[in-house]
Amino acid sequence: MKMHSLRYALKQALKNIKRNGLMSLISVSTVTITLSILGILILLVSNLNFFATNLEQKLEISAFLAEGLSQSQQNQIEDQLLAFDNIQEVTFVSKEEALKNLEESMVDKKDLFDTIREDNPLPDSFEVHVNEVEGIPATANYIKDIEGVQEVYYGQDIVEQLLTLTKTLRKAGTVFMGLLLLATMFLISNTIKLTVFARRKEIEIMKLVGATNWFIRWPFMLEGIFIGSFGSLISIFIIFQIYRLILVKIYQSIPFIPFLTNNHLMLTISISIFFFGLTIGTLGSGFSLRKFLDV
Amino acid sequence: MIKMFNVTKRYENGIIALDNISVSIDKEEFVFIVGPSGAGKSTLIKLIYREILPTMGQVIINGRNINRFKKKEIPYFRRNIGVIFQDFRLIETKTVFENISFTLEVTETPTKEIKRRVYNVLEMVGLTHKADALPLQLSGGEQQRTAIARAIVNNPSLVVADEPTGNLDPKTSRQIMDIFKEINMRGATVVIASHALDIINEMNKRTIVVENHRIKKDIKKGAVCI
Ligand SMILES: Nc1ncnc2c1ncn2[C@@H]1O[C@H](COP(=O)(O)OP(=O)(O)OP(=O)(O)O)[C@@H](O)[C@H]1O
Ligand SMILES: [Mg+2]
Repeated sequence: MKMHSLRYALKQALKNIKRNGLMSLISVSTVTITLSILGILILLVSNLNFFATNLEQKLEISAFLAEGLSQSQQNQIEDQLLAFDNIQEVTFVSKEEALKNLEESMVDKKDLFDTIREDNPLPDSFEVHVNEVEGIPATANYIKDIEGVQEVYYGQDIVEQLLTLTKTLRKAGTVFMGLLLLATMFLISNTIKLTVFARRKEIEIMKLVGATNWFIRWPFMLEGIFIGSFGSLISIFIIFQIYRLILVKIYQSIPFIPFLTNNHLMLTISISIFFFGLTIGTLGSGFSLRKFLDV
Repeated sequence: MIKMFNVTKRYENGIIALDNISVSIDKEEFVFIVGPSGAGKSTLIKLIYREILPTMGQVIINGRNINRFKKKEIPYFRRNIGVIFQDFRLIETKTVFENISFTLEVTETPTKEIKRRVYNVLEMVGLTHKADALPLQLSGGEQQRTAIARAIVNNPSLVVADEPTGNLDPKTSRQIMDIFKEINMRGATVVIASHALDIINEMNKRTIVVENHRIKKDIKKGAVCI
């Protein structure tokens, strides 16, 4: 396309937006509203995911050791633990440390510990962190069979329930997000189709006086670019305002829940929303035109 | 310039608008097409600029069979033909100036040149003062003159007009006919479908009479009496 045509197309696109004021407003609003809903949902699902991962990371396996193992036996157990695929990290907790930890978690029962300290009943142990939380039961089984390990604990019931819960949440979130994405695409492209349909006569006339398809398409696609990017920019603003409000409200009532506020994620979401709006704005008008260009 | 061989046009609803007609119009000719309403005049005109295709037979314009165009070639083909539609077909959201300039924009004419030529034709049709009006703010005759201006602004070698004086008083009609005469003198072929028998008689040009979807008479020159 030559410079002259580009300038002409740009001028036409701006003129058309102004002249079809109501239709332009409807299109921008549709983009803004649907993308805002989509963006907020993405943030919520991301948080759900983050929340689930957070919970999962807290899961660990405790391997309690038999009494009176030598240092080399302990090292051997550690090696055996680390040899297992799913085991990421192993921390040794001596019986003294275990007691101290316990004491700290029960400060109000100090008297009780005075007697226990004389003859510490807690065993040495390894705290085992895994790569894949789904593999916890199998890993625990493996650890149980290592010689020198007396007992294994990982809160079987809680872990299993938690895992099903996070799995379900993730699945539901993804499915819902996918559906909303489709609905957004459908709504926006349909609105654009309507604006193009309203101008089908104009398109036909342009063809009859000798305009090529691209000559007609450019202003429409630029219009789509403007409407798509403008609508998505407003929606990005709305998304973060609403997200901020939600966070403030939640922190007021349950302050300890971790939320995603890192800039990297916000930027990724903003950029994705922007390009999503831009792309369906542009392609939407391009595709809607096809039918009417055949004159 | 225009050749039609055994052309039949049957619309989708089954109506036969043209029934096996053959016509030949030479370069630089000035031809009227007359006939009662519904005879098939507009259909004949639409075949010339390829808004429609014949159901049977061949239509050759400028040596090219309109059935054999590639999609991409059609716009370039149409730029050589100035069309005045029976229903004007002005773009409602564009001003008079823009409706006319559009024909030049598609050929990437420089902006200055566009201005010059548009004001030139606006003067020819007497609409300079309405350049910035929208079509809906115009009278029927003014819309018609805008349509004429648009059709002739890029000096096409063929001008086809469907009832170009249908909405005009006799005086304006004669002025419009003078414009057609002028562009014909400059070398354009002109084909006009019309009802205005008195003006046609005055003009004393070749006249093709279409009746009942067939060509009834082809009068080389002189008065038409139907
Ligand atoms: N798009 C169409 N679809 C179906 N039938 C059509 C169509 N256009 C025209 N016809 C029919 O074809 C016949 C010829 O129509 P055409 O428009 O060519 O007549 P005309 O001679 O131009 O008439 P007028 O003087 O009233 O403009 C008419 O019977 C009309 O009803
Ligand atoms: Mg007609």
